[in-house]
Parts: sequence; C-alpha cells; structure tokens
Amino acid sequence: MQDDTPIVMIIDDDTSMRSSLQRLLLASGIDNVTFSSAQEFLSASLPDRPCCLLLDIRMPGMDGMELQSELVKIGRDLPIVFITGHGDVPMSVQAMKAGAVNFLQKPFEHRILMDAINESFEKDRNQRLARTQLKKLQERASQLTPREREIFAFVVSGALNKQIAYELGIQEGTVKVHRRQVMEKMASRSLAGLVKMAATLGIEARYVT
Amino acid sequence: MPEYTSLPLVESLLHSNLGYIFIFDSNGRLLRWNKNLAMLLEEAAAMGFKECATVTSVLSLDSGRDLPTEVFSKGSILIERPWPGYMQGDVHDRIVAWLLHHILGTELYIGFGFEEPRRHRVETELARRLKYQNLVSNLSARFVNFTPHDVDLEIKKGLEQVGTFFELERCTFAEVHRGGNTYKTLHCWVKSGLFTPLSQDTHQFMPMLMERIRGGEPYCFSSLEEIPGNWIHEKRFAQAEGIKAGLMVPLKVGGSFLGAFLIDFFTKEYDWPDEMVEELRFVGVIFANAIARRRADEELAGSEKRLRMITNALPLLIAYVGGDCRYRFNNKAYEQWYGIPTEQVYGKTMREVLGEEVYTRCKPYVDEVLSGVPVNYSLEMKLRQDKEQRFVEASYLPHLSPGGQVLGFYSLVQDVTDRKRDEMELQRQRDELAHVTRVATLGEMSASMVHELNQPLAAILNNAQAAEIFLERDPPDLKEVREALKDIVSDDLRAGEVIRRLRAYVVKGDVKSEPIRVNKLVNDVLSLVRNDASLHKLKITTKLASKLPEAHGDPVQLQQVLINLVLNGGQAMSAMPSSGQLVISTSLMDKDTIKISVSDGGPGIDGELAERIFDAFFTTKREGMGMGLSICRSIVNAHGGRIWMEPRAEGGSTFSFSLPIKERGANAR
Repeated sequence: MQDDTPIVMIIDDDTSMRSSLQRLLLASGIDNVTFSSAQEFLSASLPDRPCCLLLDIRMPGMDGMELQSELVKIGRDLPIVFITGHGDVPMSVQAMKAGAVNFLQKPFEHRILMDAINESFEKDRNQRLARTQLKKLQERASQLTPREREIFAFVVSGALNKQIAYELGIQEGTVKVHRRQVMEKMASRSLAGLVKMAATLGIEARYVT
Repeated sequence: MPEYTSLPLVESLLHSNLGYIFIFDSNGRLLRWNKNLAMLLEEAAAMGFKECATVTSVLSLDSGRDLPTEVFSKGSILIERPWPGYMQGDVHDRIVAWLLHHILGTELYIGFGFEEPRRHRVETELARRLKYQNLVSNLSARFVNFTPHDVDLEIKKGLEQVGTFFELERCTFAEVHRGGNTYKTLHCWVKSGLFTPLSQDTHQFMPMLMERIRGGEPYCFSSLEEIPGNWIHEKRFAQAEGIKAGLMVPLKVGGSFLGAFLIDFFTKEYDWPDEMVEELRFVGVIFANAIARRRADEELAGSEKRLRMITNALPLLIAYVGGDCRYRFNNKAYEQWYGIPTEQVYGKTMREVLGEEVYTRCKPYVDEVLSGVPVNYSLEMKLRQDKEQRFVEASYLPHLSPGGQVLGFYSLVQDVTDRKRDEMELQRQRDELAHVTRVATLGEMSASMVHELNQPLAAILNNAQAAEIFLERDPPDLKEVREALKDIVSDDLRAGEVIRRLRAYVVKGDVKSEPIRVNKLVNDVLSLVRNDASLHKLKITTKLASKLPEAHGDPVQLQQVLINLVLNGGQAMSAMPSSGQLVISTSLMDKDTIKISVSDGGPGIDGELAERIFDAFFTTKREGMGMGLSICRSIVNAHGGRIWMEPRAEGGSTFSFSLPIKERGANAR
C-alpha cells in the first residue's frame, strides 16, 4: 500500500533554524525530515511520497542553488522552497529560472510557509500524476509493432488511410486494420486523444509527401 | 793594654766632660770612667757606698740583671733612672737617664749618664717635634678638606700657622710660571707689627734664583753677602726690600715645578738650621699639593665651564647630583624650568628644586639609581612656573667609584610634551581612521550581519508560531510549547549577542588595554564574518593553540585586524575556480609573543606588490580604499606587535600578526 502523505525535506545548516522549522511543521501536522547539509540529503534514501524541499540557499560546502542544479542533473525534479536571507535577490532570480517553486525571506509567517509548501506538494502531486500517466502510455506504446508505430505517426499527422497506403505501398484495408489495432492498444477512442498521447510520448507526426 | 785604648773615640770621650761616661765589660765590671763619674763615685764612697764596681751597682739596679747581654742583643738601651738617693745634692740629682751602648767589634760597653739640662733640651725638642707634627697634620687637614672656593683663604691661614710656628718674619707663597724666570707672589704672611712693601700678586724677575731652585733643592742665604755677585736682580730685590736673610724652598709635585716658598728675615741675619730647612721643605710639599689640587680644580672649572657652555645650549635638564641628593652641577635649563638662577641650584637638594610633589614622585627612581642601577622613566608633572602639565622623560646614570661605590648620579631630563602631544594626536587620528574603516568594513559585512540576525529571528518566529498552534490544540500540547519557548529564549539571547558584538565593533569607544584571550578573539571574529558573502563558500578551519597566555590590547581594534585579514583572504580565494580552505591559527611564537595567522588559498601576492600591501591607499580591489592593511599595521604596531605576509608553498598567502604578552607600560601609549 503506497503512502501518499506528503513529506517536507528540511535542509539547513543552522541548528536552531532547522529545529524550529521542524517544530512548526510538526505543529502544522506535516511530516518532515531534516538534513544539515546538501551532501547529507543527496546520500540519503528518500521515501516514494509526494514531497518538497525546504532549502536554505546559503550553506557552507554545497549551497542551495548547487543542490538544485545537481538534482536537475540527476533527473530528480523535486519542488523546492528556498529560504533566503535579505539581499539574496540576484541569487533568487537565478534559482527561480532554474525552476524553484517559491522563496521565503527570513523571517516568514506560518501562513506563507504553509502556502508555499502546499503549492509545492500540489506541484509534486501533479508531477507524480503526470509521471504515472506517461508511464501508462509508454507501456501501451511498447505493445505496438513497428508497422503499427509507423501507422501511428502518419495517423496523428491527420493523413487519410488511402494516403498512408500509397505512402507505404500497402493495401488501404491493411492500413485500416493497423489503425484499429493502434487505437485499441493505446486505448484511445478518438483521433484527438491519439494526437494528445503522441505529444505526451514525444512521437513525431509523419506527413505524407 | 786593653783593646779599648785603641779606640780613639772612646778615649776622647773618656777625657771629655760630656756627662758621665764609663766603660764596662761583658761581666758588667767597670773598667774605666771619666772624671765626672769619678767624682760621683768618690762622693758615693765618702757616703759609705763602696760597691760601685759594676754597672748594676752604679745604676743601683738589681745585681741579678744581666745588663751586658741585654745591651749586646739590642745594640743600645736607655734606662731612665735617677741617680740613687744616697747622694743628696743639686748636681747629682740631675742625672736622670743612662744610655748603655755596645762598642762594635769589641766585648766592651760604654755607658752615658744624662743630666737634667740635657733632658730638658730633649724634652723641648720633643715638644717642638710634637708641635711640628701637629702643624703638619693641621696643614694637611686644612688642604684636604677645603672646597675649591676656599683654597686661597686656607693657604693664607696655613702660611700664618707656618710663620708663627717657625717664628718667621715673612713667609711668601709664590707661583712660578712654567718655564719662566719670574714668580708671582700669591700669598704672603708677615709677622704682625712688621712693615713690608711686598704685596701680593706681583711678579718678580729672579732668573738666577729660579734657575737655582728649579733643580728642586732649597736655597738659603744667612746674610746679603752670601748672595753671589752675578745674581744682580736678586740682590737688588733683597736690598730694596731690606731682606737680611732668606730661604727659598722649591715646591714640586710629581716632578712638576709649581712654585716656591720664600722666607725672609728683615730684622736679623739668620743661620738656617738644617733641621728647620728640612721641616720647611716638608711643609712646602703640603702646600705644593694644595696648589696642585687648586690647579686641577681650576682646570676642572675650565672644563666645567666648557661643559656648561655645551650643556646650556642643550634643551635638556642636565645635572650631576651627589649622593646626598644635592645638585653639584646643573645647566641653565634649570633656570628656565624652575625659575631658580643657574648658580643657585648648586648645593640645593632635589626636594628644594623640584618641589615636594614632584620630588616625592621621583624619589623611588632616585633611590634606584643610588643603588647603582641606571634608571629611565617618564613622568607627567607640573613645572613650578606654569600650570601646564608637562611630560618628561628622565634618565639617571649612577656615578660609581672605582670600588663600585655610588658617588652620585647624572640626571638627564627631557621635556617631551610636544612630541607626546603629536603622538597623542597621531594616535587619535589613527583611532579615528580605524573607526572609519571599521564602519566601512561593516558595510562590506552588512549582508553577513543581517543574516546573523535573521537566523535567530526567523527561528524565534517559527517557534512562536509553532507554540501558538500547540496551544490551540485540545488539549494544548504544553510539552511542545515549553520546548518551543526554551528555544525562543536561546535564540533571542543569540540575537542579542550579535547586536552586542555589532555595537561593540561599530561604536567608537576609547581605546582600551585589557586582557585578550586570543582564541576567543578568533571565535568572536568568526561569528561576525561567518556568513559574509565572500566567505560563504569557504571552509574556515581554526588551529588554535591551547593554554595560550593572555595578550593585552583593545579587543575591538584587534577584532578589526583579524576581520580584515579574514575578509581579505576570502576575497582572494573568491577569484579561485575551486573552493578552498581558509585557516586561522594561533600559536606561541616565543615566550613573550603570540602569533595569529590567516592562511588563504588565493592566487598569492607577487613579490613586487608584497612590499606595498601595508601602505596606505594601496589596493588591488576596484572598490577598495586601500586602508585596510595599513590600518591593521598601525593598530598592531600600537599594540607593540608587528604584521607581515608570507607566501605559502602550496599557493596563497599567510598574513600574521604578533602581540606581546606583557602589558606595555602605562606611559607607552
């Protein structure tokens, strides 16, 4: 049974900051776990739950922004709420461009913290959902034969069966059969649905010449 | 024939009427006697004393006494013994003593009996000798104790003593000019009631006499006729003066011819007894020594005059103070300082000249120098003349006798008020500049500061909000509230500490000198700069020596030095591609000095720049003022330490500064 309760990863080198955040989140009923450095976080094994990072931007060793780019590099696209001090504006802009969800400038109110965390959770949930759907589609797409995949690409470009048959040098009836197979395997009831799936899967449409 | 007859002297004595003479042999038996004794013995025989055949019986001594052996062993003996009472009468009563003498080369002895008149002469002579000894010791004492000022008076008094003693008529003390033919009469004593035209301080041309006595032997004439014919000037002088007899005693000291003693008789010709000449000659030596000493004093006075001229020109108080704390020499500066005429300082005590208050403060140093140790000290004092406080620096140098005894001390005192004021002004400006640059550094550190404050503030807010939520629960989670409150308190204290440090660093206070724990200094500085932008990527490590003694100084200024070095190091390293380590270390450099070093892994400073980095207005930073290291240097120097830079073998630079452990003297700053 998968636990879907969201969890906050607090990463801050300052002990009192760390423990006060932990206490506040605990009071707010939010699961959390703390790390005193970016390195510690990277080497920990994380639960498969919706989560977000509450990340101090200034830390000795690897700082918040370096951790952010490291996570992008290894493909762990986690939503990040940065905690910044005064005067870190240029850094904040850079971090935002790299995909940070929010910034909290110390000291911050509880409500703002909660909003930021909830927003991040939402984002993570969506991302997780999107990831699940993609996975499903990929599984379906993997059942397609090479010929069916070829037909799929032509179909999503809006080509007619006749045109596809001519392009491939096969019978129109054969194209029709393949087309039905693709619709069935991808579990799509309309051409529009198929087009959307192709976009999600990154399948490029093929146009008849 | 007995051998003695061959002795002509004995024979002639036996024939003379000089007292009572007899010869006796080694058995004490009388062999021969002179007429005087024969008469004595006859009278004795007439009186019924027949046993005057031996020396013991003649002297009426105990017959058991072996006089010949006694005399033989000593050569001669004197027996004071009056002629025995059995001979009444004037003549015989006058024998008072016997001299018994061994005649060399024989076994014979001769005896002399002395009469009363002879004894009287002896006594008179003895008394005179005694008086002469008194005179000599008196004169010696007179000339030993005199001070340079009294020498003339003492010589005069001495001449009077000599004149009276020898019953002279005129006694002159003359100085002979070196290599000259004249003498100058310096002092003259004349018997009272006698008129003499010779006045003092006249020059007399006496070439022959001078030539004669230059050899050192006295010259005398008993009458004018004795003066050689070619002594024209001398004879003319004697005639003009009415001199009938004269004696001149040359005065020599250590081979140098100083002058002469001239004794003249006007009322009589005088046959100078050898003894008297000898005695006068000896008296002359005493005078000569006095004169020699006066000359030395004069030369000393001359050199003292030169010394005084030099010392008067110097803007220092220069003095020689005797062991009795009285001034023996002083330059003119005393007049300007204390309003006492220069000459009047001589002989005054330090207490009188300096005044009670200053003297009391100088006293310990005076005691110290009089124990034989050179002393240097500084003092803030008021002069008698003005109300203004003056700063002086004094050096006392003991004057030691060859035996190591402290005779007095030289005192050099300098008014350093102006210099001190300049120094204080310089110090004030330096402190001002230090403050300005400190505030400027603070600007650089402001981000770090805000972060330092934000950290506890944010934590407090978090905890407060958490506490609020815990309280709203039903039932409230008081345990968690309590924990939160505890953290709030400690974070609040932390914030307060940050503000206190910040204030201490920025507020311009007086420069203090207090004990500094160097390791604490390092930790304080780290807490101030830890979050500085230029340092945030650096790993700062410390290598602090344990059990360091305390240094002394102004904590804020020393923090400033260290902050500067740490920030500089951080900035140097920010230029480097990889993040490195900044190392702050403390150590004991030697037993008197603590060293604090900051090593960075920056690009290093090349040799040419290295020489200029501590100069004011030298900077390699685009926005730098170039004051940081210059201020560091002046702060460290003012603390009695130094600051320097060394390149590191592994790249980068190490900046170090030293601090003395001992507190500098109160007047050092």
